[in-house]
Amino acid sequence: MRKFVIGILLFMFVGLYATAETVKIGFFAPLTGFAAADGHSALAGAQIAVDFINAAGGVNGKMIELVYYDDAARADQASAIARKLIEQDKVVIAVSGSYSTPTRAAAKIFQEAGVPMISAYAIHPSIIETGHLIFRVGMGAPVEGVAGAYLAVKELGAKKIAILTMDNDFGVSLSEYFKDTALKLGAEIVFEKKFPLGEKEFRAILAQVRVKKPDLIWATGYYAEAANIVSQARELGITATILGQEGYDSPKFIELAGEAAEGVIIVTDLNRDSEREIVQKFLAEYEERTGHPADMVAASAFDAIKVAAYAIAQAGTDAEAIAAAIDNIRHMYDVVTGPFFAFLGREAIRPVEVQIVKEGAFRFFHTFTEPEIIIPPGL
Amino acid sequence: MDFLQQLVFALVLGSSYALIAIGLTMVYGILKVLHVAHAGIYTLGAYMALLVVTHLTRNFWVALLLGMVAAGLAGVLIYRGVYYYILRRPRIVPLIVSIGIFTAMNELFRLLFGPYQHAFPAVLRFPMVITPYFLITQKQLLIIVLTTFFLLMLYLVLNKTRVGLAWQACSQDLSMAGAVGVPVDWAVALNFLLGSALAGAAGVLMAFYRNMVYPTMGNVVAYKAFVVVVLGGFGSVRGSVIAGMLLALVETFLGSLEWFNFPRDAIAFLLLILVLMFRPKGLFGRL
Amino acid sequence: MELLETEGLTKDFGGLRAVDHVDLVVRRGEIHGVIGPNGAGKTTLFNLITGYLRPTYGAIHFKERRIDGLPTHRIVTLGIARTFQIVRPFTELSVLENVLVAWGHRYYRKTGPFRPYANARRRAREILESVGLADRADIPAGTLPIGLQRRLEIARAMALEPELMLLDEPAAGLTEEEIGGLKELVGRIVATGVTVVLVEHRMSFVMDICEVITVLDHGRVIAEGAPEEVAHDPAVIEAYLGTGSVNAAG
Repeated sequence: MRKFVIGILLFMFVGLYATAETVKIGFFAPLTGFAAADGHSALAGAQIAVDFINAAGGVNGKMIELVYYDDAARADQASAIARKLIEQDKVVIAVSGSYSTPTRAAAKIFQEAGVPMISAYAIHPSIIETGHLIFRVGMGAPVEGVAGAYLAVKELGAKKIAILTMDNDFGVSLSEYFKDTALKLGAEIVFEKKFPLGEKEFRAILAQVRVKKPDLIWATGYYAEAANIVSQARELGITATILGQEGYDSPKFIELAGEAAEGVIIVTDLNRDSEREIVQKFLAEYEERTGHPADMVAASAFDAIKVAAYAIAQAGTDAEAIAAAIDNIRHMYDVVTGPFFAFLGREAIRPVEVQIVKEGAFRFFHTFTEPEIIIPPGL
Repeated sequence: MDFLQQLVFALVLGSSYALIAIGLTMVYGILKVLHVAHAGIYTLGAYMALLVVTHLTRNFWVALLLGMVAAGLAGVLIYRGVYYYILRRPRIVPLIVSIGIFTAMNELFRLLFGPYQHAFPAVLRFPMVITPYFLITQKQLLIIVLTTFFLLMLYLVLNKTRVGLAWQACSQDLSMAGAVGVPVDWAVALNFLLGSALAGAAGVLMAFYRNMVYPTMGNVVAYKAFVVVVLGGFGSVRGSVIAGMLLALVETFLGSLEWFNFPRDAIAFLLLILVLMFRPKGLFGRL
Repeated sequence: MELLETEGLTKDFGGLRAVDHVDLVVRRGEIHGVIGPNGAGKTTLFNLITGYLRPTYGAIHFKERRIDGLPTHRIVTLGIARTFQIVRPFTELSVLENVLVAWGHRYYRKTGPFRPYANARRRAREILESVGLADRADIPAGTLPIGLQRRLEIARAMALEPELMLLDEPAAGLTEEEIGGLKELVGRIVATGVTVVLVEHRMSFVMDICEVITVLDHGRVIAEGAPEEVAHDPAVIEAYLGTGSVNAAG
């Protein structure tokens, strides 16, 4: 009889420990479909963050539990997942490891339900405009586009620029800000064309570009489009510098583009040559776990988890308090794509990194910290 | 002078369309079945070649050969293992089954190889053509030359050999062909073998050209090949080749115009609608 | 056993019995006619022998081998060729090519399907000559007038080099003159050693060239024998007069 009672007490104790002592953070990313490579990267980045934090004692003494689902980069699936995370899993805060279109859909649902959400790398401006509970860690399209224009015109001295825009939320917003700023800085746009997501054949367009003889080509796309644009451009003998963005920031881009990737410059927020300890620690851990070098997507997901955990540590589980905590962040150093100087307008303000592909890997090229570049226009 | 360069692109693109559409139209001509799974065979050829270049040898020709063989055999398997038993059913049955096979194949590739794009690291020495007005890269020249070769061989087979005549007879009157002693089952199997091998070749060539192999690479091909077949006329090989080139020409020239912001892949659909409205039997069809 | 023998051959289509326990015997080298009023089951009989239909009961023996159940092209290879009531040439192939398709039958599987036609063309032209189509060898078969399409049917059957040839209403729609030519052609075919069985409505034609006649009515054999015997057989006269069909005296 005594053994029985002790057994029950032990069971209850363990049970209570297991269930009561975790903090649930929701997460969704494309684990299947065309974006699966990025989704897996994001998930790995998020999991590393969770493990680092839990190893250091968790948040307010509790362990973080990452509750994640696959949205296949689709808005309808992301919406369903959002509802699930809110109603079933009752997460304290959610992180999106997915693309802009599904994140936008999910953001609406989280805002309405009063649950904060942080977008890791989905950058369409309307995402954070959804409401006061929606934040973004990843660099926004305005900042990226503006920085790209400064890099192209001021640093690289380009006077004639061709713009190839992937026709979706991500690509269009990037090109819009790039073009505005480039024109303001005095460059000439000699060619401009949109193409659909998933396009594989660019030679006809690139032949037209070649005729215009630009100094630089600004091409938006995810890694598959980027690889095709870059390799086909080189195949046609185009020698102009190709300037990409965070969509290129993946080892898959280098793998698929092969030699053509050499010399491609991208605007991103991950500096692989950074001397900060958190960066190198993250890069090493990621490579060890997955066998690939890390990319921007993974780094952003990592940072989003870090911000979420920080906010919970500061404010507990109340949604409004968490939101306030994030708004009040000043100088957060322990993040990979940082340091975060502040959160303004619910997005992280930090340096813009520029990387170049050298000998088959992304290396440091330039950093922007000027306020007029890194603070989004309008703030 | 840019016109000539665009023409080169169109020729290359049209070659791939023609190679795929031929198999589709040959099968339709004889069996009157819309062999949607053909696009899966295109992808299978590419994956087979990928296995060869990543595990066996980087030599492009070996990869091409084995890719074609695998594709050809897969085609025969699908005929003999599946279509053969449902040919007497109403025509919609083989169509649905074919779609099912195609979907299953895509999923199989995704499970075996992952949903990502793989690079295609084959190695090939091939000449290039450089003129002041246009250039043809190694890969482009390869595709043009190989396709011409395949089409020539096909022409000879169709018009100068026994089996070619048998195929023509089968596509005009299948049961009559049986009545005059053509071993129909065997003739159809050979037809699948050849058509599928060509589709496999197209898959390998495209994988090489774009340096990309991925499970859904047959999706766009599936409907575009269908459009080419309708445009050229069901059952007409000559029609498929011409229609394939035509579609490529329209896509290339329209798609390169700066003001044309319509997705390039939708042009095929537009053409399909036009053809069905004004000339449903296509250019050379016998529907 | 004779060249072709059917044993209790029966075919049912649902509730309808089209062929009813038919015992047919065809001897080598003879010209054998099969007649009967409309719907007597003559074409169904041909369809059974050539493998288009499977018998419901009964057996078919050809050269002492059971052939019921075999696929059509197999039966063709064994030596039976057949023409159709409604001619079906390969309309888009040339006249010569129509014959070539049939000629290829023994070569398809054996000596390589990708071989060209070479000396087969010569043989095919010879066949066309023997049916009088040599001058039209290269025009599309679909453009021939019906009488000549009939001859093409027969030419195709000849190209199969059969031992037994089944002709399904070869004289239908022909003029008197054309019939004369047809009789002559059949005679030449038989002279080469081929056995011929024909189904026909034109009594004069049948009586003229056949050595043996089998009469069917409602799927059953009601008479069999030499033409004069059969013409005067009361059961036969009854069957024809009863349905108001063709004049038996021709």
